[in-house]
Amino acid sequence: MSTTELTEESELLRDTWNFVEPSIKELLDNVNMNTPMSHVDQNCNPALYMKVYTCIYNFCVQLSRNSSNREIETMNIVNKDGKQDKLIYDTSDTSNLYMKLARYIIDFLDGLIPESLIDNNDKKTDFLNFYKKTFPKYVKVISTLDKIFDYMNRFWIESQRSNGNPNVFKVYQLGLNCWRHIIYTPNQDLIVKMTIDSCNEYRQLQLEHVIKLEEDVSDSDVDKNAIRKQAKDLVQRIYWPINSSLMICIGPSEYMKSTDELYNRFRTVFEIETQKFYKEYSKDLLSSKSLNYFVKFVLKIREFEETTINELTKAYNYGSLSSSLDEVLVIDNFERFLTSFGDSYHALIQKVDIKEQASTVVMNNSNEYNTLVSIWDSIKLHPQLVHKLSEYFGVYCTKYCCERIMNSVGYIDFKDYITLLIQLYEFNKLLLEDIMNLQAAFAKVFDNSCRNFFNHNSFAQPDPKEMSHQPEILAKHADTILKKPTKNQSYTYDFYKEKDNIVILFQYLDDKDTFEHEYRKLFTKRLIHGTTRGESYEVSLISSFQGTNSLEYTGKISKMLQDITSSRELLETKDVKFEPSVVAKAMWPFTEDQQLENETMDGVLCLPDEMKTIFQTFEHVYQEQHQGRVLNWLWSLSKTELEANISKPGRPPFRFILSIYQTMILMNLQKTNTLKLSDLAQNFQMKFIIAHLIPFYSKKLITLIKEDGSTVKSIAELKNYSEVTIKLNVPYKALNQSINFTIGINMGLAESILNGEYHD
Amino acid sequence: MSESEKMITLVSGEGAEHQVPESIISKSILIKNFLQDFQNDKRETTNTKSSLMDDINDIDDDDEEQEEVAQTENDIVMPIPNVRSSILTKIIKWLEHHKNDTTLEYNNDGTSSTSVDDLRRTDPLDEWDKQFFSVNQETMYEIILASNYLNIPQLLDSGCKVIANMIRGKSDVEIRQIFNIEDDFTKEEKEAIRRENEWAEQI
Amino acid sequence: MANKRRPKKTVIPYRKYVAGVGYVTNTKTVKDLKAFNDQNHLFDDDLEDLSKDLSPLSISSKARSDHVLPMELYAKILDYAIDFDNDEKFNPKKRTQETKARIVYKNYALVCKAFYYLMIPRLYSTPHLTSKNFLKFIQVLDADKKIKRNIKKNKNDIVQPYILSDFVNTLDLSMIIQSGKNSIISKLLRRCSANLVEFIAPQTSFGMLSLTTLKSCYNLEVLNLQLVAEKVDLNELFPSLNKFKRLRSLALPRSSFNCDLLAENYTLRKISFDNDAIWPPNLEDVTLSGSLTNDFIELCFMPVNLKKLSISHCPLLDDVSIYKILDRCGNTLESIHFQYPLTKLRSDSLDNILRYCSSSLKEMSILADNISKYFFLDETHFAPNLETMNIICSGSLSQLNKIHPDDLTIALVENRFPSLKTLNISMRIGWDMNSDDIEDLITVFEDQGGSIYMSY
Repeated sequence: MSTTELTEESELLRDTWNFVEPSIKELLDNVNMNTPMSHVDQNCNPALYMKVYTCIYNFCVQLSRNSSNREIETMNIVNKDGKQDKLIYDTSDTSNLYMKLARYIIDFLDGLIPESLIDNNDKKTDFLNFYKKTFPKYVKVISTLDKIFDYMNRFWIESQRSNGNPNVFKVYQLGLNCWRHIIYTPNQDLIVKMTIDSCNEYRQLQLEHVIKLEEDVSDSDVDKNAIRKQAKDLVQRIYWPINSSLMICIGPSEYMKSTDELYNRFRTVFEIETQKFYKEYSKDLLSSKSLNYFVKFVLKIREFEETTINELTKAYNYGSLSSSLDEVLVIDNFERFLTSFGDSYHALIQKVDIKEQASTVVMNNSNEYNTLVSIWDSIKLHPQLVHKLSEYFGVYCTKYCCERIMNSVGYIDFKDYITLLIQLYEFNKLLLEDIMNLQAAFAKVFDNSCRNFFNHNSFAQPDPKEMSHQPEILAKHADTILKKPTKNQSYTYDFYKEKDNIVILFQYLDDKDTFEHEYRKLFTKRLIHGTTRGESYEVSLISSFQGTNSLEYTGKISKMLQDITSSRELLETKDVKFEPSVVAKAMWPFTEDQQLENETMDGVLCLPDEMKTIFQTFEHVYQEQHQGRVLNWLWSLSKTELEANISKPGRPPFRFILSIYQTMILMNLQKTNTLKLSDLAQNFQMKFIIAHLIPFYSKKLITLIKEDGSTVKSIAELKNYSEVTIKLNVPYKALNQSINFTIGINMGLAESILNGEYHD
Repeated sequence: MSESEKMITLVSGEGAEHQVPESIISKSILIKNFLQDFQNDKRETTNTKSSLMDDINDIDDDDEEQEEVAQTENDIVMPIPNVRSSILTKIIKWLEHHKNDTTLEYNNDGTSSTSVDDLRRTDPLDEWDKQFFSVNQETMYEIILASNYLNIPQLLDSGCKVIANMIRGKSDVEIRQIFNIEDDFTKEEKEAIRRENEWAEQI
Repeated sequence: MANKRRPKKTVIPYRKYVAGVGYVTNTKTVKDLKAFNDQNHLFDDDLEDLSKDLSPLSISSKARSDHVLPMELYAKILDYAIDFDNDEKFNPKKRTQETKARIVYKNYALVCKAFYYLMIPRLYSTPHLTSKNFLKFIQVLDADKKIKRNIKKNKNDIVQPYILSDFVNTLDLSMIIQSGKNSIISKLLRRCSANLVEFIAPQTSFGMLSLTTLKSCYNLEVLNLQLVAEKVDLNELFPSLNKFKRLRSLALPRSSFNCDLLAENYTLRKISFDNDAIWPPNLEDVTLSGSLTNDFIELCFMPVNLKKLSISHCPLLDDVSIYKILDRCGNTLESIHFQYPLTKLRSDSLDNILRYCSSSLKEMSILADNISKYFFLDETHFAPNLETMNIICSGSLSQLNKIHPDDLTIALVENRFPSLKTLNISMRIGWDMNSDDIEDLITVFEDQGGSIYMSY
């Protein structure tokens, strides 16, 4: 900064300066190494403040009031190009006062540096110590001066600056600028170097003694107080030079400041040195500690840098420091991170157990879990690394889950298998939720892995060359939870939980068509045999399939259900209860066998008269309602309930559950008590008759008598059915009052009897 | 602020003391600056800053005796030597009337951002202020000077607006009277200026 | 005691009305002094000094030439007076940003010399120029320059006489029509180049010569070429614009030569630009118009950090280019304006602009010609801080009733424009102002605290 020598001083200026100078001196005198800060804080009292302010005010107003026209005229001078280095001051007293102040500050600062200290290596007395002790006080003092010279700031300096004289500063900035030129710039390299040294020293100190992982044993023999003291000193040695380097960059905006060469220089060096430091440090750490330790420690380092060092170096844009840090700490070591991630993940997967909640594995904060968290925390801000990790996760997930299932093959049945799948799924999902916050990249990869290990694992697909059995297993599982439990069992499944599980598994199912087919098969069984747990349950599961897939997908299944419900309303008669199930043929997966049967016994014609009318009426009504539809009776699936008064006198009648054939046989026996099989053969195929007779025979409702009067001992003898007569055992002696004869109807058995292939 | 508000004692030019609540007098940026920087500073730093900041700011050597300055809650006595008692009373009256105004954001040096600048310019003069300034000219000038001295931007604005309204549309002669200014032009000079600026009025 | 350092017996310019025990020299408080009083130490050395120091210096004792107020306050008062003179019916909501020209009464300058000097920068910084006084204004600047130059030669002791043209900050030539040759505008620009901050080009007489002169106005912050009727060669314009480091606001001319040549020169590095950017570095407000081509947009990225963007009279831009522009600078925009004609756009081309704008958007003008009702109906169109919306319509036949008042009502009910307070709708949109639908819209909008204005 060049200053022009003052030529002539007016009396007013001289008086004012003489009056103000002692106060300025008093204030500035506080800027030295020994005055305590608290004293500097208090150095200005109201009286001093008002006295000097008033003096400056009066000076300015006085000048402005009786300013000569010459002076106002010079006020208007516009500094044309603003490029000049030399300050062009008008010659007014105000500018002289300003110059005097600037001169005074410069002189003061010139005398401030203790020359002997600059090359001193002793920390107590070196340059940085001087710097950190004086700068804060100096700032305080010049801000006081700024307030005191407020009036000059407000008008004279303002007008100078707006006239394009950028070298006139407000007093505060003037002070900072002087500091920059007198103290900072000549010693810049020294300051930068010493600051960075201090910073590294501080890091070393903190990393060694303060930052600890849980597993570290605390060494008690270190004097904590001494460390604290040392840290405090270092903190100051870092903070003040760095902060000052930004403060003394004077620009109209923060943005302009950040383009200042001085500031940038500090910043660049600082970043480079930081990288260097941590490169060394991580090398050392890796050579002495385990990888998991390193991963966790990196997190601690980052936390330390982000909080403490960031606080100290707030003047810098943190983002860039963080990225250069990560480069050294994370990116360079990413391969290691991946390995560590895989190992920890593997260990966790092994802990997944069908008897335990997946969440407990995740939640119990095991070492491995914490490692995963640390790794994630270190990389989560790097999109590329996140992406890479997600890819690796997909691979690990598939691999280790399959492995986990393979380990259990042989020990588990299909129910346990389902549970295991669900556990694995839950575990991974929880993990992703807890750690990765279910980031999109991971969610996608996870879906893929699920599809992989759900469908292709050694349980569902023991032979990799064959198709996966997953659809069958799943359909079976669904059947299990939807079936009415057998008598002695109660519902062992929590339906809604299981339903959710099924839906999850279903989502990831590859071969959905097979599943649908399989499911319909089992569904038909449940519907026709009435073994379903309840229609509402069926509906609820079907609708969740619908939700996860499409309407078309469940179209057939839901139509089946609809048939069952709607046909009930079709017809009701008085004395015989008739529950027809009208179903759409194409939707139901009836086996060939049953269809064949439908064709053979065509028509209602051969039905006993008691029932014939009912069927005929129904056919009539149905045709009326739905013209053009073909109505087929599925005889084999029909069921009748019959009350038979053939018990011992005085006992209530039996209730038989019968197939339609059985009903007809019994109906025929109603009058005659005996019946030739050959009579029946007129209307029906023999194999059906025999198939339906066998339950009667085995439950001793009938006796079969050959032509020679002897009874048939073995059903194999039924081969020559024409010779056999049926005799009803009256009174029937059975313990149960209601008997279900539909159990045991076996078409295959009947056929083998007729072919003579059956032997006892 | 606490329920018993801190009072500041202002001492006028004559030496008379005026007690003013801190919140009211804070409209004067001159005084606000002082109060902020030199009085409350200490308390604020200890309360809000982290321990790290404590470390940073505690730059004194430890071995040095920390003379615990007993922060005797001295009443703050601000001498206002440039303002007479009667004017100070008027200003306090104005401050009290405006104490609930939504304060525009002024920077600490009394300037303001451009948007606020617009508002300051366009803010119409409120009736109370008009009334307030309807005093003899000498007093009015003194109030304006005092508000300039104490750096109370709103009051200064109001005062300047009042005067601006007074000189609007007046001839140069009238304006000279208002400000009690001597005509220091020669006839020729005046004619030259007229000619020079003729364009400005040919619209 | 600290104040011992103070040299004694200095007369200070420190006015004091009444002597007494009120004041303190350096660090002593009033109380301390009172204590002194009690102990009858009143005539302590220091105090004696003090009372001498504080010998009164009153205004009245000064010479007659003193002013009642300091110059800075006069300046303030004059500023207000000028403001009031210009803003009789000042409406802060509807500021005409385009022109800052001021009418200033010369009476203020005639009061005294001090006032004259105060007034000069105010008279010349934003001159109110019309066809009537334009030539006179130039004459004055010319004459002044000549006189001052002579003075400088004669009297060396005057350091730097001021020159009237240096005061000119804003030149608003929008009112100048047909008043002469290109050379006059060019001359004026050259005169005022040093401190010119804002320039609004006239409709006519702005040719190549002026464009060249413009290069010397390196302090320019606002440049508006929209009115220029002559075709402007962008190939000439952009290289000079690039040098304007302070330029914040730029409005391109309505008619220009096809700029493909420029784009080509730029990509082939035939013209060198600072920092390789074709646009001035600190732009905040851009009005695109003229023959900008899609290729130009493709090749010459828009500046980032734009706050305001207007697009009008761009017959060659299609919607892809518009979205390209928005993709680059939509995030920071606070204000976006579309003006017809934008002939290459389809009838729903602008539907998606809200997706490209961030929550910083406060103001927008949209062309009804180029949006469909889905602009309002799409639920993802959300502008949390939008305060003002202008719906402009060309009124050509097919545009009527493309947007229904209900569409707007729905968007408002769904709270997708929660901060919207002002809605300007062009009458040409063809809504029946007395219909129930409009009433619904008004009711809903008023619940939100907004008001609707219909304009032509």
